[in-house]
Amino acid sequence: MQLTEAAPESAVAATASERDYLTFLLAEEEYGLNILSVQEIRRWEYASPIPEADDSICGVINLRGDIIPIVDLRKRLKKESAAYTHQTVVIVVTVRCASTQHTVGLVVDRVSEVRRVKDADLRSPADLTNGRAAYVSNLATIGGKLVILLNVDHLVDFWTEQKS
Amino acid sequence: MDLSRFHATFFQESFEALSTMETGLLALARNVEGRPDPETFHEVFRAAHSMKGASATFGFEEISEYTHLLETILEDMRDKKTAPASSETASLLKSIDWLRKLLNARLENRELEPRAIVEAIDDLKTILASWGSRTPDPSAEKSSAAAAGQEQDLFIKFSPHKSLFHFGNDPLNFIRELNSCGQIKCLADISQIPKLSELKTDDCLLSWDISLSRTRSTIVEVRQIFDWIEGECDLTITDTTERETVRSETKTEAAEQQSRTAVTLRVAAEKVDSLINLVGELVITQSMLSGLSDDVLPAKRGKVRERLAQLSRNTRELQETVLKIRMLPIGDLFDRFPRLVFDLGHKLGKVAKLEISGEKTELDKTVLEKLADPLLHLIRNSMDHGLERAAVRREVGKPEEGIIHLSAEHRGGNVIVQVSDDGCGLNEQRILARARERGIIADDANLTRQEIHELIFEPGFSTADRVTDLSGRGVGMDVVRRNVEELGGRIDLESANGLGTTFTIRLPLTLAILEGQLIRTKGHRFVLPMVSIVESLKLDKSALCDVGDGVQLYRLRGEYLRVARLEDIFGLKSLVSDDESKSLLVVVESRQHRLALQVDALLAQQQVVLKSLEKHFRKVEGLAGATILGDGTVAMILDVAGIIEKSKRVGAHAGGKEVREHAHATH
Repeated sequence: MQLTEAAPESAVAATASERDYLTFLLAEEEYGLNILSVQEIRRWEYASPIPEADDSICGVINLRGDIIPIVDLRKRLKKESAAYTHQTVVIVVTVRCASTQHTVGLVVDRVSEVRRVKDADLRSPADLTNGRAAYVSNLATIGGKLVILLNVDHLVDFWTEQKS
Repeated sequence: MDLSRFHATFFQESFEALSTMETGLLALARNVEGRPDPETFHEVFRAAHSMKGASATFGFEEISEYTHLLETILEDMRDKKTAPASSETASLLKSIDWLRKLLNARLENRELEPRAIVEAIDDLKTILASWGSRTPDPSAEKSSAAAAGQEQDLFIKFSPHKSLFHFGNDPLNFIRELNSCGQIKCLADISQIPKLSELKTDDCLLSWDISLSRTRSTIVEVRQIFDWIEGECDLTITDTTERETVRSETKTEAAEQQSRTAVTLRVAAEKVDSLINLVGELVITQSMLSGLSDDVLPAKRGKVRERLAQLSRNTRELQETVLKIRMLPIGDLFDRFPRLVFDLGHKLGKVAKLEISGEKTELDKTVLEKLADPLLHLIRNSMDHGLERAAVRREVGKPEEGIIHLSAEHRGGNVIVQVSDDGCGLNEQRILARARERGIIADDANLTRQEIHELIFEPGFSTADRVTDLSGRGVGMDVVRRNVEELGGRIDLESANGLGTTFTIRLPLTLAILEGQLIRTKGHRFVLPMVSIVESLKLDKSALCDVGDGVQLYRLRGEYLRVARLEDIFGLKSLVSDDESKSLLVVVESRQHRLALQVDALLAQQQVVLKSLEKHFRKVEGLAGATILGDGTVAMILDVAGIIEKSKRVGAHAGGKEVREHAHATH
């Protein structure tokens, strides 16, 4: 996996004004997640469907004894669906909601690498997205490319959501 | 010496001692006509005595002083062999409440108003003064003199634990006290003492065989001498006199029980939960392994299967043993109710007695905790609405004292807990009137007696005219039912007008593991809890009738059942291409309602570990949770009550009501 290429940068811990992000590919766009919310990365495996769940929820899997939901991020972000390939992975993240934590898996096309971005180089998306896509926390330019940084806590919210 | 690390144990044991005293005092109060049971006196006295000593050690002066006063009263009671009158019992119980307050103040490190403490102590002193003037029961004194006059020979095996000296105790003190009870012959056992070079001088490695002859003390009294070091030594006392009275039997039985309960461990609940989780995972991994045995080369397959079967047996046994760790006797829960009935009786001006049976029945700790509130509510209801006042009872020819019976037993893999009273029973007319008032049923609805009774479980229902602060706020019964169902159980009721009401709660033995029936429909696999399955049968097309509006009925032995399909209830997409025409019906039941589920296949019956969906996802109506099957995939566990609710909304409309009436006309 390409993660090992990130080693030199992340060999030193991030200082107060910069953070590490796990970047991944989804429908031709590059996205990123704060590395602190990422628990692990798994190969895609069959998820048992949950009756009456939203279309974007593939189902649930057994993660060392816990039942965790798997979300198809393409569907969640209302992008075109695509077939899963051998590169499709599930990023298992920790989502904070009120005073508790939940574990959720996100299906993405391909994982890229861990990148360090200075807080000063982040751009707020507010006036660009006009209040939609609330899950976008910031925009960053890494290696000349635009990376959309996501806030997992706003990405999935099963616990207060009603069935659509 | 820093004693603060012993505080936790002190508080735990003190609260337990208070419970013992409370139970004992209530038991004594009950026996006002008969002779008060000396064993109960001893128990209460011992508890007070231990608390006095322990609280003094920790410097909790006010508790020690208070307990000392209490002890004096109890001692007086014991010597005069008279049981407390009802008002005296109320005062003594109040003093126990006081002690709780004092303990809690210390536990939370706050100061209690000194005035309050003085008031409490004065209260007790008043009782003591009035007690002093009571004349002892002459007949009691005579017989006790006769008993006490008898001498007996006792054999005591006293084995202090290694750590005895660490707590500042000296075995010599106790042996000296024994010496004051009679003639002793003491033989020390020095076999545990190692070579001088290996000797740790602050370990106690001695034990003694002591024969105490011609003593007037009872076994219980001798045991009391060792109260202070109860947890730090092993003590067996046997009566070696040749005597055949029943009394000595009951005493050795009591002594035996005490030595039995001495061999317990205090373990933090999280450790046990963690252990149970791990064993659950072990079970799953082991069944996955078993599934893989088919992939093994034929040559080795036989041996592998054999070993796997052995593993399966071991794992199953381990699981059963571990689950038993969390089982506690339901008596622990029942214990708090006699006090409640006593207090409520006084408050409501009713005379009531609480009978308890099956207190040794064991339940999982979590189930026990969650059962407390429902039971509390049921008993309050019985006291408040069920039992009539003494005058009313006399009029209808019932004994003035109302009886509430609380029982528990294991029956067929379940625990059955019953609360029954011999009160006035449910008043159907008032229930109907109130239900109509609240709009719960239509004015012209025709209901059977059982259906009328079930109405009390509807949210917002209450036939109490005045809202007492005990119950009758209309929140009660539906919350009780919900709590019971959350435990995977069910609650039913039976009532006869004028005779009384009985509530029956059925619970599975553990929360986490249930017997499940795996079913398949349209390629989807689900698990149905066995406890909700009434029967399964092959669908006979000719007995199926389509009423219209999507309602389908099945005629089974003269009754009609509504038929439903999981794919309709959950909107499932078929995962298989062929249409399996040979269908099966599984009749399920919840809250007195039945439904016939049409499924494609019945697969294995197996124990499944209930996993929460809500932990990382959310509650889905109709699902109780999920489980991990032998092949590692996740299967949903169905919640029959939820399914029946959902099925009512999907499909059936106006046809429903007439169908139900028609179905009940066949009763």
